[in-house]
Amino acid sequence: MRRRAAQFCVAASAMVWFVVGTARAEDAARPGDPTPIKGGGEPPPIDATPPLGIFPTSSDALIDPRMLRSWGVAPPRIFLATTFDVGFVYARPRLSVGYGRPFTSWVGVDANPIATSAGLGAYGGLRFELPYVDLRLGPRYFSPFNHTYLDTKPSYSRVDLETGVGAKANALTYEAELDAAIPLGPGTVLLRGSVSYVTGVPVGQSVFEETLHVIVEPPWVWRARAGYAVRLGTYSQHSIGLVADVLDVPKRDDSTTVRVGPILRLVLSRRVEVRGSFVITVLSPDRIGLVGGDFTELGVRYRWATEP
Amino acid sequence: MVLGGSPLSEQNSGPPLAWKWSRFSTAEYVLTGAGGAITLATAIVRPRSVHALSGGILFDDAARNALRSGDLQTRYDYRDASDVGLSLAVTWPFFADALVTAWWYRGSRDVAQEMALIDLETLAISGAVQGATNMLVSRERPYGRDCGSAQLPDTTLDCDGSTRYRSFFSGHSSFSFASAALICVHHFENELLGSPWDDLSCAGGYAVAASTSTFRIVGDVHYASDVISGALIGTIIGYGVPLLHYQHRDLGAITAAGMKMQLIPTANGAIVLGVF
Repeated sequence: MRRRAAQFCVAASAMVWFVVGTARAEDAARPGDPTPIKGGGEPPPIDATPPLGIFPTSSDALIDPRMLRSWGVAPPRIFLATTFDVGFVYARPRLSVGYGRPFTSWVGVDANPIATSAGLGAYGGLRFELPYVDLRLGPRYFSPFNHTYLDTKPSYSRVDLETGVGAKANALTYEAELDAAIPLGPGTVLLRGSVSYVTGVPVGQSVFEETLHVIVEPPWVWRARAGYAVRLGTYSQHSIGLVADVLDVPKRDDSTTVRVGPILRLVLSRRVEVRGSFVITVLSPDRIGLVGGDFTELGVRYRWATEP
Repeated sequence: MVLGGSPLSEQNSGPPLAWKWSRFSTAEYVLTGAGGAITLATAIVRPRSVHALSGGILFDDAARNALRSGDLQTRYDYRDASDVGLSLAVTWPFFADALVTAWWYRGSRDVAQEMALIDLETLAISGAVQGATNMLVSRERPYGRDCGSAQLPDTTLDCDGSTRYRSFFSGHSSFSFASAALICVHHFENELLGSPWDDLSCAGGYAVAASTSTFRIVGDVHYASDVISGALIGTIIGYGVPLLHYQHRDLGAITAAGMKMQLIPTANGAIVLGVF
């Protein structure tokens, strides 16, 4: 409960910061703001004059009347962008610098600190986001608060994972991940493939990879995801779907892990999204509980980027 | 309805959602900050080395024998399930009620802001009370008697003193019941979704809170007395704090010629207060 209470403090503060901070955004309408839509009807005209504030203006409220005029409408340029995910119990800020159309079609670098209930780390790497595909390449370092290196064995229990004997399980993982989103019918086919190379682990030992949520006997681990999400909403901006993950560690025998679960995305404006991921493990050589899933519950994503 | 992606149209929206009650004050910001700080501090400081409570009291052992899962891995699974319940319970008032329902669906960022602040204040007070009690009472968790066994070695994180002696009272229980109370109060006072959705939201909050709390006993992390105490205290704080706001109506103020006129309710009617 001790760790949980500390996590609660951080997460609750971040949540209220988000709601209140956004609520206190400047209220004055800007020249050129289109008339807000009160639901339904024709999509609003595209406004090429973007708001510049970090927080939404009154006319750039949660129901953004200019939803179609996303960051992708303006011409390619050099930009700075942030993505901030907050939920119970995590906060994941990400900073991106690149050339192109933010969040849509661009090339650049991503950097983000990692602060979770499990430990601290950092990621930095190259990013190539294009229509339908998104590739990222880079190293990730993580230092857990409690988890230690594990003696290699065929299968692990929760007690194995939560036994504090030995050195802290610091690890440096080099990773390449490719995402694809292909429109099909009333929704989108979601695909993901990644290859990771885990280093820094003593010979003969294994490590719980804190981002992939799987116990790895180094160096290799690969992951594939397939799913389908149905689009909903006036602008087809929301989606709800089902995904399945398969992970494998080549050096471990019978190490295939399968996870299945729903994902949810409610796009409240071009800046604000409520997201949910409930992908739990259905097949694994290990029995390590919820930490072995990709389970983020409800969270909010806030995006911001410089505009031309 | 909400997932459909459209806010209410003007024809169907009914009366606009507006905050009619007293607003979050400076004193409450201080109180909330202090509550958060105490919660954080008590989470960092280890429980007292003197344990005020040890073993089960009253019906604790009977409840433990009846509800506790016999298998350690299954007990961990129930603990995970209780974490999921807590996560849902604590995020719902912020994300689902304030952000999505009040702000996005009903179009009132003002109400969303006040609701979120009340939520934070309530949970900060609940966390402070729970953390301080937890640290001072320093009761051993039920599984503590198994620490050092082959099944649960002393080296596990659970058997470390800062985790092991935080049984009284259950934070999962107090937070989830406080959140359920917040969901009910906000929905009923503001009629966020209308009947029967407000009733269902309230009932859902309590279903999650009850399950979360019960799973703490099944997972052998708390005694029944820890969970019941947590539920009671969470309920008292969860209703008490928001109702302090909702019982005072903000009748508004008019500013003219540099003077602020405000109507203030009294026991016999109302008075008009002018501030120059």
